[in-house]
Amino acid sequence: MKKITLLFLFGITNAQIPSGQTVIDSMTAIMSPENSKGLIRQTNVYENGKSRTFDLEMFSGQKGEKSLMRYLKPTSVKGQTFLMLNSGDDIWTYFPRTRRVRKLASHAKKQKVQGGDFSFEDFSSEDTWNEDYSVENRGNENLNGVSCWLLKAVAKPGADVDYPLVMLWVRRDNYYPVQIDYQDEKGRIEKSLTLDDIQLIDGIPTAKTIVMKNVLSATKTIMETVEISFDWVPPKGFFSERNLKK
Amino acid sequence: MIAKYASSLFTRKQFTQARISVIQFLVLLFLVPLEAQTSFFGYFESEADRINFNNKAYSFGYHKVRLDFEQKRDDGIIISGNLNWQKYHGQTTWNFLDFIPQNVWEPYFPDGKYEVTITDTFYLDNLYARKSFRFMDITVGRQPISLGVGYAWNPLDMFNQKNLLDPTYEQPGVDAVRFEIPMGNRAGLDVIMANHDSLSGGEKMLQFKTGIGSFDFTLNYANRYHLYPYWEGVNVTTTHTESKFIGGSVVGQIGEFGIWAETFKSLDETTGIGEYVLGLDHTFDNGIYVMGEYFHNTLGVTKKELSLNHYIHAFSGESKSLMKNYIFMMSRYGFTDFISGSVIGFGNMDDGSFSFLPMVDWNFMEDVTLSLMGNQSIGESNTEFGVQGSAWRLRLRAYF
Repeated sequence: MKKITLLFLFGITNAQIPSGQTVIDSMTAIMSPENSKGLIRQTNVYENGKSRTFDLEMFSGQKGEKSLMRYLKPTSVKGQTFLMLNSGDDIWTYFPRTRRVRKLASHAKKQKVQGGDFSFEDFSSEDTWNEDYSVENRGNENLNGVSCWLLKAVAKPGADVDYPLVMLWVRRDNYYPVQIDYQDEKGRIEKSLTLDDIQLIDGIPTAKTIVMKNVLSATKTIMETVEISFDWVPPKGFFSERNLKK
Repeated sequence: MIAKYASSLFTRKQFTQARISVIQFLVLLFLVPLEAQTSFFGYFESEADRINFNNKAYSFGYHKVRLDFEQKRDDGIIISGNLNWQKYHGQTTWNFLDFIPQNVWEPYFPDGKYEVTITDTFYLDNLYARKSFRFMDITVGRQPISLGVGYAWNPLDMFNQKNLLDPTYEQPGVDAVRFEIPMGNRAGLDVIMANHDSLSGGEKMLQFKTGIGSFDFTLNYANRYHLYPYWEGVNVTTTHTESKFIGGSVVGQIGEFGIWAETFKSLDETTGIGEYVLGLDHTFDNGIYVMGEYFHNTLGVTKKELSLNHYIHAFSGESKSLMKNYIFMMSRYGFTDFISGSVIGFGNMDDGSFSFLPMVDWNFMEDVTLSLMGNQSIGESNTEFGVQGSAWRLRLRAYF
């Protein structure tokens, strides 16, 4: 928290409008707690209005570099577990009925998680904003009554990214993002991520509801945080293939 | 479909021992303390098949219920098991020779008949206890064991044989004791001692696993028994040999492609057993997944050498293929969030026969999946897959 506060003060005192890079760095810091353990409810809402709900345990370590997701419901996917290391570059999946562990190549990161609008890539913590995008702070904009910095992130030439343009609304008071729009090559908003019901949990701002809306396919996936703890410390060897099978 | 039924006629995983264990399972259920955290789950599966070959058409299928149970005891021991009921319908008596080219069986069976009847089954597939210690996990009992990194073939998995029509279908349990000893986050030692078949004695597998960068590796050593069945007149008998094996696997990626390789080779030069798999996969930006796998089996024979005995070696699982060189390819795409389509193609490169299988999975209700699969064989009538004609399969699976 000290780091975040210092960055915040730096941004305000040295310039009326902090640079896009400063805001992105602050946002990245606040979005990357050291460890977390939570119970998440994933609801996929389809274009016909029908929905499906999945419950999963989610564990994260080393600022999201390591994570483990274990599905609890429904029965057809119960026990199916994903281990992601090196910010999602290495993925292992475990199928409880066969007790089989399979390593997936990194291209699998593009695949949808349980048919929803999040991909494995979205769950990894690879914070390469400054590496892949040129970020410009376009100034203050109110979004749903909240004062935000509006950032425009344009992909750098040759960057290996899915979206050439990303618009971000980041709260001015705590640098927490409230909306991120992902635009395709044609300038259309393809996906829109909103972070809602932000609460202070274990001293860390946390969105209790995250919605990824696919504008083109008229589907959305809602991730509700049922329980979360940032005080959790992973036991030694927790993020390992051994723990996948437990 | 056809191969699945044919191989079941000669499978060496007999259920006699499992039937006895049903009583043990029921006793165990009564011993489970009421306050213990016990969960029951499973699925119902129903399959209807239609095949056309040798100018004949057959309809058959089954209904299956699998009931799983898992108890997590306070002392950290996990006890798991499952019971399976499988009831067949339609054609249940088969002429085994229908699955084999005529020129192969003619010298042994001039009347062209060797009939086998598939009967309804009620069996305990798994019953095992697992305890995790700080430095080791121990699993004892009839348990699922799945080794190797290949998709369609796993040379290292000496306990199971995959069905090319359905490579990810669950495998029968193996009576074994397994020790898994972690050695750091990505390394570990795996020791499996299996009582795989009461006739052949124990089998042992030692596997060292580690990871470097984006690659995972295993080094394997095994001691196994081979029970080669062969025809003596119209009766099947067996030869019994013990061999030591070495093997290994690697899985990782090069650029945007996932790659894997796996091998298992006999140290006994006289048997000359060696199986090799090489695979590659990729997911395109539009979500289309493609994979391909090549399999080589030194124990496989050429088309000229082929005899009835080679067929039963392959059906019994003692050899993972009939001939030497095979290929498996698959492409999968999610059309909607509920419907996905796959196209599978596999073939015997030595006799030029192939099977082509389009498949659609429809997840039409929560926990309920309906699958429709077609199968068209390509090749001459005296080839491995060419003899199999065409088929359709409809399968419903509902989890509870």
